[in-house]
Amino acid sequence: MVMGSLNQEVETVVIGSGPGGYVAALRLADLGHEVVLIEERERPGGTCLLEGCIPSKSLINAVEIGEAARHAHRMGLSFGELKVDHVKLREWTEGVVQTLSDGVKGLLAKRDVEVIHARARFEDSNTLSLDGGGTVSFQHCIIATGSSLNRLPEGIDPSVWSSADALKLPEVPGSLLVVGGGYIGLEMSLVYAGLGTEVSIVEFFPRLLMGADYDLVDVMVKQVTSRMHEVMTESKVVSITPLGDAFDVVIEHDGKTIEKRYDRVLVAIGRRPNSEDLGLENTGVVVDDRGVIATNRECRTAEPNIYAIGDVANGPMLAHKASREGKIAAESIAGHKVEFDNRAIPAVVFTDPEISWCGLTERHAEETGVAIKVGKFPLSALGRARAIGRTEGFVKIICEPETDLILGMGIVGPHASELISEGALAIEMGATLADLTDTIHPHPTLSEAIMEAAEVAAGTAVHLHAPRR
Amino acid sequence: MFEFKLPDLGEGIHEGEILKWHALPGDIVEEDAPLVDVETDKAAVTIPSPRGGAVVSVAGEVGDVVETGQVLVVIDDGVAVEAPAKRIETQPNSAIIGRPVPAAPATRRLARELGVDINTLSGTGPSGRVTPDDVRASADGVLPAATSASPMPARSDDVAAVTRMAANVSNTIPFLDLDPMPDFSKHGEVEIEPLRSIRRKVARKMTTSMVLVPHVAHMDDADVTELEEFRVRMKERRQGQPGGKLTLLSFVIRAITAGLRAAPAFNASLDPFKEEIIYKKYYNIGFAADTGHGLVVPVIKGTDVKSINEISAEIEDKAALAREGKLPIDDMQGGTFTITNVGPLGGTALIPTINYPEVAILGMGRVQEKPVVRDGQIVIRKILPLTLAFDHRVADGADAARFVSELVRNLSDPNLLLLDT
Amino acid sequence: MARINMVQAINLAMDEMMAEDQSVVVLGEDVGVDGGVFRATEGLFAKYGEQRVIDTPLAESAIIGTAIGMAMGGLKPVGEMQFSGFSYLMIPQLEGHGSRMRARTMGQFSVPMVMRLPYGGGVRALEHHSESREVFYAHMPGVKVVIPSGPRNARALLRAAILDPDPVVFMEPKRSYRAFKEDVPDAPETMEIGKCQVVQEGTDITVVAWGAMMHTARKAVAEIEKARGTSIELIDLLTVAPMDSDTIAASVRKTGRLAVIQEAPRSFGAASEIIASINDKALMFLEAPAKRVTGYDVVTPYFGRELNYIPTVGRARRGIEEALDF
Repeated sequence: MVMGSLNQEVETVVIGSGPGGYVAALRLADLGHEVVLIEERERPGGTCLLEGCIPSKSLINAVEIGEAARHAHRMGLSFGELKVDHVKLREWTEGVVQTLSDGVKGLLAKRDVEVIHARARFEDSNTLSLDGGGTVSFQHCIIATGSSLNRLPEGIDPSVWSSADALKLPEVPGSLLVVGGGYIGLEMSLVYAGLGTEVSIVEFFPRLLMGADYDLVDVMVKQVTSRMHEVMTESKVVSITPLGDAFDVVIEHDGKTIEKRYDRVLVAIGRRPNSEDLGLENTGVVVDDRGVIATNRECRTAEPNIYAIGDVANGPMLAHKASREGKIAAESIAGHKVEFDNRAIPAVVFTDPEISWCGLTERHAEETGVAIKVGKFPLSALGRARAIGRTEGFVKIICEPETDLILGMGIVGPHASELISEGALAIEMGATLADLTDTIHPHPTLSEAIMEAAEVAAGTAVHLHAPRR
Repeated sequence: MFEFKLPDLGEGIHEGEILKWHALPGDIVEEDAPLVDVETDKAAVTIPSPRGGAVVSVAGEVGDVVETGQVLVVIDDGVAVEAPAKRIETQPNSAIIGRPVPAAPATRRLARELGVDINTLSGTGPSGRVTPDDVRASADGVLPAATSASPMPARSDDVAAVTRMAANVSNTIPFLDLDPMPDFSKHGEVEIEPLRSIRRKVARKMTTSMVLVPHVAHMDDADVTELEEFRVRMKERRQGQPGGKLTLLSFVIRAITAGLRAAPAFNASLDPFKEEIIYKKYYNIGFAADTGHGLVVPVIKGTDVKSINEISAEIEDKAALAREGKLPIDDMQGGTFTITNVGPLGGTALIPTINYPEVAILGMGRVQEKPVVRDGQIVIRKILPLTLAFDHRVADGADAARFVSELVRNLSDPNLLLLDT
Repeated sequence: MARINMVQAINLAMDEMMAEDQSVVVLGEDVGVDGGVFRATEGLFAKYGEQRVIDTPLAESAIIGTAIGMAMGGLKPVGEMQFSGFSYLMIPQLEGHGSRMRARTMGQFSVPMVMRLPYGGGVRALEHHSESREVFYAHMPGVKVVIPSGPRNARALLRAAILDPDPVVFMEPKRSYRAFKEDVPDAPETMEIGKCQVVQEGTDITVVAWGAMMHTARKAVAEIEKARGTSIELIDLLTVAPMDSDTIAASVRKTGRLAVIQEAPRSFGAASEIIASINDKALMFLEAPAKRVTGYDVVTPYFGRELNYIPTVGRARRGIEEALDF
């Protein structure tokens, strides 16, 4: 550039303004640090806010309202046929996203965090160069670049939807094939099924949602399958051929090769960390062959003044994990003695019914030979569940046999996402069953099921036929 | 890249104070070129550079105290950096699954701040939950009574830490009322000098000795008239020969050595951890020297096999080196008994502090002409006041009386020194 | 207080003066609609209109000529030479007329103009864009040369320059344009032109620097203080001409030693003038030869070699220590 390259010296720079990056920047500003945030998109918020958690929850909520309306006739309420204006729904969702993104922008501005809209690359472990010109010299850096959708395998036509495409609600197709039965595939399936599409799911593994305990998933699958046109597990997509207004898909299912036609195809096959093209090779930062940046418990990379948090670093790709790491990295930079010592990171799947879990799962206990005691309480025995007409599901608590120390919790049922936090708190506090059973849970609520499950584990339950021993 | 840590400069030396940097970040040093001057409580040493290369960073400023084993300088010697993965250990940042030591997040944070590893604690809460009190109790146990780590908080303006430490100590000793220092400047002008180097080490040694060792002082007078007459005569005769000055101290060292051979309890150490008394069969007598920048105790080794002339020569050499701050560390270690002679400076008597971990120390006052009664007559004699301070755990008053009486007897007649010692 | 960088501070000074005084106008290449290639005049065109924020043709002689005329006519023009490397075209009219109009007319006319020049290297720019030639203008009697070092003094000195009744060449170290931020008071403030600033007091040596070298000097001074416990008096020159040699001399009388950090080439630079003034005013107090740490007497290299030319923190430190250890 004729003008030359102007340099800016800052104490700390954060790359990425998602739930990890912007939280770290705000915390650092509160701790008195000078922070600059670099974001390559036009608005802050990252994947979560702009094309992930938030828009998907907005759509799921709408669809759940529709679903509740469909079942309301049992209670004497009748609606005509549900009409869906997907354009309006899209605008509503976009409004939610814009408001939240503006909110983040406002928070950053109020704390005098300078936001530079550019793409950054490392020149060395103390300098970033920005596309568009200029450099930033820093003492500390937090990499919060997040993750991107895995690229579609070779040969797949770009007109095939990714989850980001699907979230924009371009249309409500007559039929949709969802490739991938993980949490993103399932959530998207429910959204489109709720909007009126005939949805089919193809999953490579023998079960949907492989990561969760089977008993939790089975309850959900029963509900979800009834809304789907077809669910094919242990199946593989061989080819997808675009036809202009539809797709011909060849699937290996049940030992046979079948060919089907769908209006639209959605491929939800996971995400990869955004660690390429950052110039990390010019620093001491270590990246593994999956693209994950190696970090220690302080979220520091192998280069002591550079931190990495969120999806681009180790651990589950969850927004709340990124936010926690953001705070830890910020406090570490400020000289506090911190580390990521959480014992429970909740996982939530926003299907209908929702599934959530945290801490030790039964499967993991089985695989590692850890002795456990489990208490399960079905929602069908719960007053509130009956009252709202949602009795599918249960709460289970996993604990240590002699000491009653709570090690894990799993919930399937309505509002599982809201209830799991009690489990996370119990595990972090080192609570025992007595701490849960002796805490008064308000009646009638779904949260009572947590107390009841603890009672079952402790052998003192009154709301089941016989105490488990 | 080479990290140079402050090396072990000698037994009992755990830290040093930075006096002067000979190279700064950005400078190139050659191997063995002077790197930094560091003062320990024994001496000031110039540390040579272990590698040639460019200085990347230095540990601190002039006046800072660096501990043995702490990184002093980082030098870029051109040797390839270790694989970065080794520099910081990385591991998956998932939640800990399974059975970690139960402790609430706030408790874990407290542990980190107090420097306690929570995984080493067994808690007093239900199912072994670690409570904040458990953490604090463990942290307090970390405060040591002695040894290299300073029990005082690193920053004296860390009021909470000071108060906590004072409270801890006051808890263990009845009636001990240890409050933080009042603000003296309220009453008038004050000048502040940081406690450093030799002064600091002496402060620690004296406190330790006084607290741990039950001191008893046994006093007596020695009639050194004959000895002094002999000594002065010999000194004049020996003018110009090596070993010049022939001080009274050299005779006392000789006499003490004889006494220690007869009473080994005073040439010993008591191990309170193993509950043993260690009797030393070698005789290394230290003598307190006022160097001008602090108290130093040079040690004369093997006084049982050295002549008085040799001892006298050594006293002079070592005292000179001590004054220049050049006394080798080896010559300050290994003592079994100490003598402190304030006589030349004045004073009738003193009760000295035992040079822990020895068990006895002899204090010499000023030789004075005094009237004494001999055979019913008053005569003027040269009297040397002596005080033996000893560790009552190892010896009793009767032992001390016998030891000192023998010493007094040997000093009363130079011929006895010739025969017995 | 607002925390801003130097470009923002310069913009603020112009904005404030234009709001207060209708006779203040801005002219230069790309200063209007574009807001200046460094964004120094951003927002002014929208606020004050095309009559007061003027995009000139690509002709430096026109900019200086117009500015002198405007100034004599009663306006207070703030002109911009896009780079100091293009500014030499103003020498004939500045030397020939701008600098001497007051003397020539015995006070009937003065030329209250400011010419802003981004100058200096360290930004990886092309040929002609990295020179430090403040002495060209300092050697013109009748012209003042002011060089700020940070946001706060940039705003205060530019304001003072605009208020000054005589020509001021205001040279802005572009390397420091966005490098760091400072708290700048909300209420407008001025600093006196022709006075340097004792940034920190000390007793062992006086260090003088200006422009981008202030940042370098600060770091070198901090390193020396940390390593050796030295007490260093650091002076920001701020005005090259007329030079405040009295403050520097008073300092040297106190410390006895002097080091000057200068980005410009060695020979015939401002450092030489400083040292010469010490010769006049404080020679007998010197305990060591005054030390200049400077650029070299060569054409400014391309940016691959830039940092070999411009005094680095290490070079500044060694120069200061040489004066200390003499």
